[in-house]
Amino acid sequence: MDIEFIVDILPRLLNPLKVTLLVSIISLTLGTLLGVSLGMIWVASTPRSFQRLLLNSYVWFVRGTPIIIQIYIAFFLLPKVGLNLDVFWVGVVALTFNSVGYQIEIVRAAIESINQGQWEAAGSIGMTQRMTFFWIILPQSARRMIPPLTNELSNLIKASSVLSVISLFELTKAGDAIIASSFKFAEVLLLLSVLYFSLIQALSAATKYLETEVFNFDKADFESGKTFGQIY
Amino acid sequence: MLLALDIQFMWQVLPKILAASWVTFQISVLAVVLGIILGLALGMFRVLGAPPIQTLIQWFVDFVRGVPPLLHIAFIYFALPSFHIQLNEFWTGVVALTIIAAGYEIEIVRSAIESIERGQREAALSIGMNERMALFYILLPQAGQRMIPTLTNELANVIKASSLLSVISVNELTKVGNALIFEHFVFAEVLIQVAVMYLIIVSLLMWLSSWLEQHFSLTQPLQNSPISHFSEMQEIR
Amino acid sequence: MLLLSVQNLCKYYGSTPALVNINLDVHMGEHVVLIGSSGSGKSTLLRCINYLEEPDDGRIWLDGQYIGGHIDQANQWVKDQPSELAHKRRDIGMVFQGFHLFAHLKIIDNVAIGPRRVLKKSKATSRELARYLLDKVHLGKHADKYPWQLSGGEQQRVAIARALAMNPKLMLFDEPTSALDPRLTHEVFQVVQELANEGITMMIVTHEIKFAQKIADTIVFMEKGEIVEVETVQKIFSDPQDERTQKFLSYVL
Repeated sequence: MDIEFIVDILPRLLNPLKVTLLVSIISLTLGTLLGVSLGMIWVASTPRSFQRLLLNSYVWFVRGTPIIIQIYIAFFLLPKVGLNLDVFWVGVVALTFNSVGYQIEIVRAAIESINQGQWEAAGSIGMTQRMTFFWIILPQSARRMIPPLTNELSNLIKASSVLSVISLFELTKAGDAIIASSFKFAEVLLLLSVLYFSLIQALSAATKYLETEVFNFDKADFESGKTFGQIY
Repeated sequence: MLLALDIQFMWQVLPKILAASWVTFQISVLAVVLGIILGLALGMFRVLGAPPIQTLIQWFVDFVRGVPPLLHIAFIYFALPSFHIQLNEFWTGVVALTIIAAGYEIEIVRSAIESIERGQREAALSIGMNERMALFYILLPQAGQRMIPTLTNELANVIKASSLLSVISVNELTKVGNALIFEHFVFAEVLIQVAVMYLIIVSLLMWLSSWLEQHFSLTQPLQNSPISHFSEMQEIR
Repeated sequence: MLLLSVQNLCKYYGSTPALVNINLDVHMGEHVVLIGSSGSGKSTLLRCINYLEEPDDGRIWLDGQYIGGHIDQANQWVKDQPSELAHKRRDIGMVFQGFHLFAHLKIIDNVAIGPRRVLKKSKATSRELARYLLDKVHLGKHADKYPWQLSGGEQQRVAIARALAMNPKLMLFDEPTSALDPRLTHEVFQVVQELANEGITMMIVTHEIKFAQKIADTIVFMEKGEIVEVETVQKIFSDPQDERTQKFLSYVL
C-alpha cells in the first residue's frame, strides 16, 4: 500500500467529490419538489383514475429498470429532442427521474401511515377533506418523510457513481482515470471507498439523529416498517 | 421522428437480447444463491457470534451497503488477478455480485431472526433446548419462511445491479445492448428492448415476492410480519 | 418430600429490586398458587426458577441439584455451562402467558419436538407420546393443524402438553389464562385441575382467585418483590395474618 501516493492523489479527487455531492443534492432537491407534488396527486386521485395509472406506470418503470439504463436513455434521448445539455445536467435529469420514482413512494407511504382516526377527528370538527389534508395530514406526514428523504440522499450519492459511464467527471470517473494512468487500483479504490463511505455514514448518522432526537414523537409506528412494505 | 422505430431491426437483434437476458438471469441467480449461503452463515454469527465477530460482520455489512456497488465490482475485477485467481468475466461478475448480495442478505437474515418473538426462544429453552437447538429447530425455520418474499425481492434488486457488470465487459443484457448501440448507431430500438426485458424479469419477481408475502401471511395470520425490505429503503440501484 | 427450595433469591432490574430475599419450599405433589397485584414479582420468581432470568443472588435447589450452577469440592459456586443448564431445565415445565407455540410446526410436532430433538427419541416414539398427551388435554383431533388455526384456550392446552412431554418434575404456569376470555379460561383450568388430581407438582401465578381456592394446597401472597405470607389455602382465606394480605383479599374476594 503506497500511502504517499494516496496523499498525493487526494487533492485531485476533491473537485470530483464536489461534483458527486452537487449532482446528488440538486437531484434530491428537484426530486423532492416533483416527488412531493406527484405523491400528493397520487393520494388525491381515485384508484382507477388516469393520473394514478400514469404515476403507477412511472414508478413501475423506475423500479423495474436498472439506473444505468435510465442514464443511457437520458444520455441518448435528450439530444434527440433538442436538449443539448452539458453532461452534468444530463446526470441531474437522469438521477432526478430515478429519484422521483422512489420519492412518490415515500410520500405516499408517509401520508397513508397517518392514522385514519385523524381524518375522522378533523371531519368531526367540521373540516372539509381538503382542509384536513392540508392542515392535519400533511404536517404530520411531512415529519415522517424527512428520515427516508435523508436516506434517499445516500442512495443518490451511491447511484451517482454510475454517471461515470457517460463520462461525468465525478468521484468514480476520476478514480477510474487515475487507475488507468497509474495502475494502482488498490490505493485508488480504497480511497474512493473511504470517501464515499464517510460521506454516506455522515449523512446516515444525521438521519439517525433526526429520527431519534428530533422526530421521535411517533417512533413506534414509524419503525413498524409496515408503511413501506408494499410497492403498490 | 422519435417513434419511427425500425421494427425489422428489433426483430433481428431479439435473439441476441434474449440470450443476454439469460446471462443476466443466470449471474443474478448464482449471486443470490451464493449470497444466501454466505448471508446465512454470516447472519447467524452476526446474531449469535462473539461480540468482536458481530462487530466485524457489521463492518462488512456497513461497508458493502455504504459504498457504490460499482466500486466493489471494480475492486473484484482488479483484485482477483493480483491474487492469481484467473476467472472469466462471467465468474468475476458472479463473485462481485455475490459479495454485494451477501452484504444485503446478512441484514435480511439478521432482521428475520430478530423479528421472531422473544417467547419462541424462551419456550424452546424451557423444554430443555440449548441455544443452538433453539436456533436450528425453532428460530431459523420461522425466519426462513419470513425471508422468502424478501429474498425474491432481493433477486430483483440483484438483477438490476447486475447491469453494472457491463463496465467490466460481462456479456449481460446491458453490455450487449451497449455494444449493439455502438455497432449500429441506433439507440431507441435497443434501449427499448433492453428496458422491456428488465421490466419483465424484475416485475415478475416483484409480483412473485408480493404473492409469496400474501401467501405466507395467509397461513400465519398471527405472525404476518414478513420483514419489510423497504423499511430502510436501502436498495441497490 | 422436598422438591424445590428457593433460597435467599434476589433479582434487580438496574437498581429497582424485583425480588427481595425470597425463601420458599415446595414439596412433591404440592400445588402452590402465587397471588398478588401486578408487578409484585410473581412472574419474575417463576422465570428465575428455570433461569430464564438469572437471579442476582441466592440459589434454586431442585430435587438434589442446584439450577444454574453447582458447588464444587472447594465449596465454591460454579456457574453452569449453557448445555448443563439446558439439561436441568428439562425437569421444569413452563407454560407462558402468551402460549408461544412454535408457529412453524403442526400441533403434534409442537409437542413431539422436545422428546424428538432434546431427548433424542425416535420420531415414532415422540409422536406416539405427543398423541397420548394431546388426548389428555382433549385436543387429539387437532393434531395436524397449525397453531394459528386454534383458539387461545386450545393453544394454551397444547403448550401444557408440550411441557408435559418432557416429563418434568415441576410445572410452572405463568398467568396461563390472562390472555383468555372466561369460557376459554375454564377449558384451560379444567385441564390444569386434572393434572393436579394426578399429583403433578405445580406452581401457578394467576389472578383468578376462585380457581386458586379450588386447586391450591398452599397460597403465597407477594407484594413489592417480597413474600408477605405463605399459608394453607383454608387458613389464608379464612384468617389472613398480615395486614397487607387482608387488604389485598378484601379487594379480590
